[in-house]
Amino acid sequence: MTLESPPADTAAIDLLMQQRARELARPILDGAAAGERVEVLEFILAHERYAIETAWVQEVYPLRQLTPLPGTPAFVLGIVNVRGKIVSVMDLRVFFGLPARGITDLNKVMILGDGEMEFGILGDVIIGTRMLPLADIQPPLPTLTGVRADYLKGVTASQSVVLDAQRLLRASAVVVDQPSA
Amino acid sequence: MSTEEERFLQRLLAMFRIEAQEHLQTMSSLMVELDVAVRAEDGGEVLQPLIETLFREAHSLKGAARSVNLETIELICRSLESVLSALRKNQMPLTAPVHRAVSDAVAGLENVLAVEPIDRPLDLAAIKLIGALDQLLTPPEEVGMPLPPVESLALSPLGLQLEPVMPLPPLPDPLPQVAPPPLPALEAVPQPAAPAPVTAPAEHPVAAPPAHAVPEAPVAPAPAVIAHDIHPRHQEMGDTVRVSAGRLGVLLNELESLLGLKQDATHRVESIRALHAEVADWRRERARAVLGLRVAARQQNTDSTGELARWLDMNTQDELFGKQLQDRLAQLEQAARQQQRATASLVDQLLDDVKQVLLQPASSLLDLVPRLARDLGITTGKQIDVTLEGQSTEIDRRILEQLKDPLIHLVRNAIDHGLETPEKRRALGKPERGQLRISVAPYEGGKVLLNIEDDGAGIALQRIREVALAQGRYTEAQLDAMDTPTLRNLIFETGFSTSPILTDLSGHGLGLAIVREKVEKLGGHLLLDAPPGGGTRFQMLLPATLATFRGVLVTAGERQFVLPTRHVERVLRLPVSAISSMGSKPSTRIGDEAMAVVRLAETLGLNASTAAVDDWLNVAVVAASGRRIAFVVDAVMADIEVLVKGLGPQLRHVRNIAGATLLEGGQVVPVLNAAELIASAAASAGSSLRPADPDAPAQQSLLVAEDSITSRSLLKGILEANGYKVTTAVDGLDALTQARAGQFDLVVSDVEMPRMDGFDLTTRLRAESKTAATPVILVTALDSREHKERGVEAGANAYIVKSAFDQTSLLAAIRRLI
Repeated sequence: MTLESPPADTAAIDLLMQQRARELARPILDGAAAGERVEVLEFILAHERYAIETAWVQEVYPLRQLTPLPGTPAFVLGIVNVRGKIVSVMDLRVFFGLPARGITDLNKVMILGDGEMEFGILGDVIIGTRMLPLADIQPPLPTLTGVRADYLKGVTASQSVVLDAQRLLRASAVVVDQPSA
Repeated sequence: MSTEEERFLQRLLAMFRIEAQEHLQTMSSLMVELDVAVRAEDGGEVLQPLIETLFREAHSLKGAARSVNLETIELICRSLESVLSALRKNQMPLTAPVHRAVSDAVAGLENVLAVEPIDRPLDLAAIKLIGALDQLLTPPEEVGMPLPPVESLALSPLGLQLEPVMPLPPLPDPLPQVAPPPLPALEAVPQPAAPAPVTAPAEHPVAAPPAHAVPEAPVAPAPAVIAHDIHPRHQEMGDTVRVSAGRLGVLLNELESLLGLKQDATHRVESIRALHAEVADWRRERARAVLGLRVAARQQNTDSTGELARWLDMNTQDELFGKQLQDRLAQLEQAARQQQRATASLVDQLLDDVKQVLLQPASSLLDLVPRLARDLGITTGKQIDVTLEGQSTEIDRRILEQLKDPLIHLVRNAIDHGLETPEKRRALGKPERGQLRISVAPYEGGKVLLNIEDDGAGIALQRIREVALAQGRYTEAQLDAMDTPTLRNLIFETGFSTSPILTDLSGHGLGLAIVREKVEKLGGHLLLDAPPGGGTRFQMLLPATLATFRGVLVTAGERQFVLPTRHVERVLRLPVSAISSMGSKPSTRIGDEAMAVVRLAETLGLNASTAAVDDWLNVAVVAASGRRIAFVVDAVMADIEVLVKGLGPQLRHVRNIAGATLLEGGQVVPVLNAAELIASAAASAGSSLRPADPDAPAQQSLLVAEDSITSRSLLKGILEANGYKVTTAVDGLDALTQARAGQFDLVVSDVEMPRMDGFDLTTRLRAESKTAATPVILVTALDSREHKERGVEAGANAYIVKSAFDQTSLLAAIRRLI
């Protein structure tokens, strides 16, 4: 066994190593999308595409049983049982004051939570999750007005409306606290 | 605390820090001046103003600290303030030790402020400072009390009732067993026989402190925060594990889902049994048919190679298979039945065990009483001995949490209304120190009894009559017809207050009604009586575990609801003809009582299925808080065992609904709140003429006068959050100017302010025709009786002591006044 290697080999190895290092150092994505990205859950609600950060989505449930509560504001659809726990479910269409457009399914519950607040929102169809580059989120179109505009992060190139789940969870407007009669 | 409040608190803390630094700077330079003056042997005319300013600074800092809940700073300031006050009034000479303790305190305050987080709990250094200050004020004879080793602690601000944390001198044998220290005043109403109470000090050792010195562990009132910090209770550490309450809750929730499993297992057994029976029937039918065929075959004497014979041969095989099938089903049924039994007993046992885990000694609740009593004692100028008993009684921690507010309320009532001032007690021949005794003891049927008893003036029936008459609740004749307990129970009615001025202690009139409702919500009862020796006694009979309770499952407006069984007096079917229309409201007679009849669906705002073609109505008589109403429901389904769950954080409170419960199979059903339901029914009964929107009041405008920027921002924030329009003023003069210029529905003012204080402001407002009738609420950190009285004289409508974030009393007072 010789301790000395032929110099040519050393150079070749160095070259290889450098090449590998460059390879490894290259970002998995390139170009503009290489920036920060968030994972979003996309769903369809009243024929519109929405996206919501998965960080605030605890789980997605098929809506089986919903118990309406008398006397609650219209945006509260009712309560459901999630493994022995009661979770309230709201209808974003009503909360956002969107006009009813045709019949929708509303058969999926996405349970949002931030440790303090927790409630479910309904969607018609769950499209799936994907990584969304933050740079792709554009400011909301001026046509998106009303209550909804307060809870939007923006709109993606694919025309998904990105909801600000954190703001929604912290909004006092979603809390129901009625005085006794 | 929600994150929003948290951020608000952070902002306030930042503001407080700036304000506190200003106060401390002033105090430091004053201390230097004081030093110089003392060295120069200056007289009172130089010293006095310095002390006066120091006192005011300490007072302001205390108030600011209190409004952001910084206990350490507040407590140091409070003790400092007391010392400075004594100096100011020349009750104490400015000796070297006094001077040292004061400078130490100022330096200590700077230290507290310099280290983050500033809202950390009281530490040893702070306790020493407070102890040193308080010691200056303690008359020498009290220093010589028993428990020498804890003496310095006993003098600390939390001190009156500190549990001995060090080994005690041996006690006289035999140790007085559980026999509770008797309530002296209750036992012997000392009419003539009592020794002349002038010799108060001589009586002390008998009446007051020894009751607390009896070091019988569970009886001795447990200490407040301090004792834990100094000497952690090692004996409790041994074989226990700390588990967060949240995790336990999750565990319990999941276990409750097992109840569904248990039910499923029963259903499974049932379906297998049914299948088994079907197969058995089928075999029997078949056997009968085959027998008929055989007979027919024999009669026709057909050829044995014929179709029928072949079929009959095959049938023997089938018959064998059928028998095997039935046997296997029988085995399956048996196995399933065994499994169902095992599951059921395991689930029940497990649930029971977890409920046991959720039990906590009552001390976690009762420990807050001595401190509260001490604070209130200082405020009201009353001397109070607190006796606690039965702290080791175990109660579900969720119940203990819910009991906190009712207990605080009753203790406040006892001290504010019940116990008399020392002078008055002396005049009545009672011992000067009032007795407040709180005991918890197991009661039959898995319940616990919580007693809150004082030896004060008791409930003035005459005053109740006057208020009931004045408020037009009852006529003289009605009142005359009432017996004493009925009359006494009027104080539970909403809006009933016998207190002439609103204070934050009591007098909202909502109080006892809410206490009762809370207790009833927990499945308990609140009773009030007058012990024979005088005073007042409240008794709460509560379940020890927040286990399941019974509910009546009903349908109304095509939906299911649960009515708590304890509020359902009876369920019956009434012929439609039994309903009469007294006035415009339908009513009926049940037993010998007339009561209103209301459709449950209507009360809940549902589409009532009015097409009641039936001649009979299903009625549930619901009773709560002394009122009853007959609710018409579509059907009464069952009496079930329910466990009430909260509606989640989004639905903090939904009118008429107490929570929800899960039926077998996981179906969610709302549980109704009986008391609210009755109130809603009563409100809606005559509401057809009223405009539809009671929830949108015009925004009311408030003027807030407060010199501390921290407190001012706090008040503004809270009041605005509650829907008021708020204008602020930096002192009384500013407020007066603004009140003249603007239009305000109510004025909230601090008491101590530069240029013009709250009393002057009130007097001036009263003197001007424009503002003469505007309600004024004085809010202050200074809680003394004289001030309250001055407030009344000046014409204030309410006097409220600032306390941190708990602004419910202020808000309640505002709502009551405008």
